[in-house]
Formats: sequence, C-alpha cells, structure tokens
Amino acid sequence: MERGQVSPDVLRTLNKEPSNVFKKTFAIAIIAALSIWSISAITFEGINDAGLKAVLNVVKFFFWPDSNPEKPVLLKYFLSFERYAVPYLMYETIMIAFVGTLIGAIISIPFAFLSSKNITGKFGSFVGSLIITLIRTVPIFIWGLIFIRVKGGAMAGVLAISVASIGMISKLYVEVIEDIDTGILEALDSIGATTLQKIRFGILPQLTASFLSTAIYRFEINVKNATILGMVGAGGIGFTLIDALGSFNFGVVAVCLWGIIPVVLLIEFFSTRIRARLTGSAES
Amino acid sequence: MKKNKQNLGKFFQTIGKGFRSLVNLVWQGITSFFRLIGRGFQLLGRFIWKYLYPVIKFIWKYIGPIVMFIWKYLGPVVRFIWKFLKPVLLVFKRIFIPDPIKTEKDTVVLPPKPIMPYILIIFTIVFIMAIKATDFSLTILISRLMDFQLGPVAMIQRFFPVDWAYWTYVVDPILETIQMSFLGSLIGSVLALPAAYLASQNLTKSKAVVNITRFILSVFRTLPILIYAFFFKMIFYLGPLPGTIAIALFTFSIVAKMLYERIEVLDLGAYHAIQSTGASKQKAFLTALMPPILPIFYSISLYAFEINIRYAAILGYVGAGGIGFDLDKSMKNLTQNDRILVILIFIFATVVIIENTSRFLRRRVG
Repeated sequence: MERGQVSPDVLRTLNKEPSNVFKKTFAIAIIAALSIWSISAITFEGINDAGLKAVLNVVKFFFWPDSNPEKPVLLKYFLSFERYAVPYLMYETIMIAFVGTLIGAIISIPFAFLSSKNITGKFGSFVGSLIITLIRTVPIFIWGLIFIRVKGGAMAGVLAISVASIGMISKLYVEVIEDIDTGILEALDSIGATTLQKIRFGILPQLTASFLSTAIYRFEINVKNATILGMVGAGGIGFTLIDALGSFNFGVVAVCLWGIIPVVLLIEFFSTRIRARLTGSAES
Repeated sequence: MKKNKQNLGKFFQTIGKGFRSLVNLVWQGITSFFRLIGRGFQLLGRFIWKYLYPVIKFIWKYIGPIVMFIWKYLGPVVRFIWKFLKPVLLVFKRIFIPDPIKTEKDTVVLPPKPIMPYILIIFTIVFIMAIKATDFSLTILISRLMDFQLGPVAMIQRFFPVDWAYWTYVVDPILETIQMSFLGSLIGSVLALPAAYLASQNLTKSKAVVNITRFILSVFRTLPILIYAFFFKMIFYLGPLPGTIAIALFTFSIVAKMLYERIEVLDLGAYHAIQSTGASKQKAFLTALMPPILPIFYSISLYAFEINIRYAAILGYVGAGGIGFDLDKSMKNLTQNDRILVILIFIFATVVIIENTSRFLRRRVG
C-alpha cells in the first residue's frame, strides 16, 4: 500500500456509515424556518439612552456601591442587621426557601406515590401526572398572588414556593419510586418480616437518599425563586431589588446583588457536594 | 610592628566594648520586661486584695451558710433524683455515642459515631428559626383557607366563570413567547459551545482558563432570569427583544455548564489517536469529538428550550415580552380575573406539546 492511501478496510467501514443527508437538510430547514419566523417577531426600536446609562451605572455601582458620595449605602444597607438591610433580607429569603421546600417535599410524597405506575397502575399514574403537570404550569407569581390573600409577606412566599415545588419534586420522586427494587421485599418476606419492618428496612433505605437529594436540589432553585417573589409582595429581597431598580437607586441594587450572588453561589456549591455524597452512598 | 600591635589591641578593645554594651542592652531589656510583668502582677494582686477579696469575703460570710444548709438537706434529694435520671441520660448518650459491642472472642468493637442526630438537631434549630423569620402560622393558614370572602379561595372563585371568548387575544402573545424562547435558546446554545470547550478540563489544558470560565458561568447562573430581563428592558424598549436576550444569556450559562459536565466524561482516545497520526488539532476535534458531542449538545439544547418556555411565560411581568404581561394584567386587574384560566390553559397546552415534542426528538437524537 502506498503512502497516503487509505486502506480498503477503512474505506469499507466508512461507506457502510449511513448518510443522513435528507434528514440533516430537513432538520436544518426546519430550524432555519423557525428562526426566520422567530426573528420576524422581534422588533428593534433603538436603544434607550437613559436605560443604557442606568444599566451601566448598575455595573459601575456593582464594583463599589458607595460610588455616589451623597447616598452612601454600604453602611446602611449592607453592614447592618436592620429589617430593611440586605443581610436580614437574604436571611429571610433563605428561610422562605427552606420552609417552602420542606413543606413542598412533604406534600409531594403522597402525590408521587399516587402517580407512580408500579403503585396505582396506568390510569392512576396518568391522572396523577396530569395533576402534577397542571400544578407545574402555573407560574410561581400566580401562586404568590393567590396566597397573598392568606397573609402578605414571607408567609405568602413560603406557601407559593411550597405549592410551586410540588410539580418538580414529585416528578423526580416518581422516577425514584418506579425504580424500587421489589426483590428486597420478597427477601424480607422470606425471613418473616412484618409489613412495618418491610417498609422500614426494604423501602425507606432505597428512597431516603434520593428524596433528600431531590429536596436539596429544589432548595437551591427555590432560593433563586424566593429572590424574585418579593416582586409580588411575598417577602424576601425581591421587593427591595425591584423597587431600587425602578427608582434608579443603583447603590441599593448593587448591594442587593452583592447579597444574592455569593449566597446563591455558596448554596449551589454545598448542595452539589452534599448531593454527590448522598447519591454516591446510595449507589455503593 | 609595635604600632600595628597597638592598633590590634585597640581594635579588640573596641569590639569587646561593643559586645559588652550589646549584652548590657539585651540584659537591660530582659530585666525591664520582667520588671514590667512583675509590676503588673503586683498591681493585680493589690487590686484583688483591696477590692475583690472583701467582696468575696462578705458574700461567703452570708451566703456560704445558706449553700451549706441547702447541700446538707437537698443533697440526698438530688442524689435520689440522679439515681433515676442517670439511665435516661445514658439512653440519650447512646444516641450520640453508641456503646461498644463485645464479640465472642472478647474483642471490643466500637461502632462508628452516627451523624444523623447532630444533623437532626441542627435541622430542628434551623426550622424553628425559619418559622420565626417567616412568621409562618398554621392557625392563620387554616382560618384564611376557610374564609371564603377574603381568603385564597375567594381569589380562585374570581377565576370563574371563565371568559372563553378571550382566547383570540391569547394566541399572539403565546406565539411570541414561543418565538422568544426558541430564538433565545438557539442563540444561547450556539454561544455555549465555545464556552463549554473552554470550561472542560480535558480539552483546555490551562487551569486558569477553565476555572475563570466556570466561575463566570456560575455567577451568570446565580441571578434569576427576570432580573436580566429587567436590565435588558431598560436598555431596549418594551417588547420581545429584551426577553430574548435574557433567555439567550440564561440558556448560555446553563447549556455551557451541562455540556462541559458531559464533555469531561467523554473518552478522548480517538481524539488523541487521530492527533498522533499527524492531524491538526482542529481536524482531530472535528472528526473525533464532534460526533459524540453533537448529540449531547442537541439533547441539552432541546432540554433548555423545554424549560425556557416556562421562563418566557413569566418574563412579561417586567415588560420583556410574551404572555407574562397579559398574565400579570389579568391577575392584578380584578375585573379581568376570569381571563386567567384561559391564559393558563394555553400555557399548559404549549408546555405539554413542546415538552413531548422535545422529548421525542431527544430520544431520537441522544
């Protein structure tokens, strides 16, 4: 064989590979058509100079919130523990997410059991998953505005987050429940375990780690959700942030971002590590 | 010669003098240091003797007998209670530190210390703090749920009867929402490819680049999409453009993260093998890595599109286009509450259709 020539074996394998020219062009055509259709909806009306200036100001203040010497914010909003200051607001936000996730994770358990195929059968699981999807569809703001009727402030946030979490949490729970190894139950039967013992030693160990890891994952998302729930008056840092953005109070905006970003980063970091440990121990 | 000797003597004399004065200096330093400490102790002792001792003496004179009296008569009682309390405390101790187990061979095995009790205790404390911070109360919740005049049930009652005729006004905003999320997902996913390349440890050799890219991506991910939408709404005017850019930014950050996590577990054997035949890095990347990366990329982008529909539905709250604006209006304007279910049903249908299509495609692609 000469140098630079491809061996016949390689060529044969190469020719065997199916050419998806038709499929590929079809997919590209669809994507192109969808993009053109989507671009047609977008209207560019120029740049709002005042708004651009405001955003640039936010960026400038983000690096040093006390850029405006007439309105010092760092001491008043960042380094104090008053109720309007960022540390307390972030604390409230995290606590809203914590209670909300806890309640949501507990309410999700019956939902998940009712919509798993191996427990309620095909029809029951269909109805259950339909309900779950229905709950998932309603945006969290709607829940917030509904539960504001219970009590404004943080409690509305807690309720909104707990109901809005049901959808995702129970969807992930269902996957865990459907994966339960029933062989263990037979084994426990064979050594004469009672029903309670079967649940305690056969089912719970299979579920707890995954359930906990799901709840922690949702907690991470809920902290982000809780930061914006304040926009509808449901507690947390959101109200201060949006209010400051609306009134061009850039120092406060920057200080709020200083509060949100590290807290969310930290929570994400620890949540990832804890979940890795939980699921790792579940597998081994 | 003599002069030289004299000079030498003078030289040593000077050195000796200098050395002596140095020793002197150090010695003086040490002594004055200890003198200072001694003085401090002296003052402390004088203070205790003069002020604290009388007080203690006075207290002991009057309270001492009382303590002695209590111990004499209460001691037996305390000892009696302790007799019953000790087993209870032992049980509690066993929760935290399990008893050693004696095996048949007279070896003692120490079970591992459990961490669950500590976690539960911390959890309970955090829970109590959280309940206090959020003013959560079950009584208020139940009483308001029962209140059909002002409570949340009254709010839901306002949704009926449904204004079905409104659906003609919903179609356009829903289509706009889909367009926004499609375009945003497309732009964001395409931009995410190079970022994922920079952020995956096995493709980019420079650790600094990897870590900086990852840090930037995770900082982008911390802020909710709504806040980006608000910023872009300030720059561009109201409409779908700011929403699309916000979705693109958000998609960029999550797709890049999911992609580099998947790229890092890829087998790079073929990539290195092709490079070893003399192919350039770019060519090896195109032939060996694109085929495994692309299906993953398609699948992740479709997933991002799927979740972006939900986000796009609320972007209208800050005026960044889509159905959210109508949702907000019909929720807050009490005369338009009957429209909300129409909008929600449309969102539901869109989400279900897009989720199922995307899942079908993902199964085909991945």
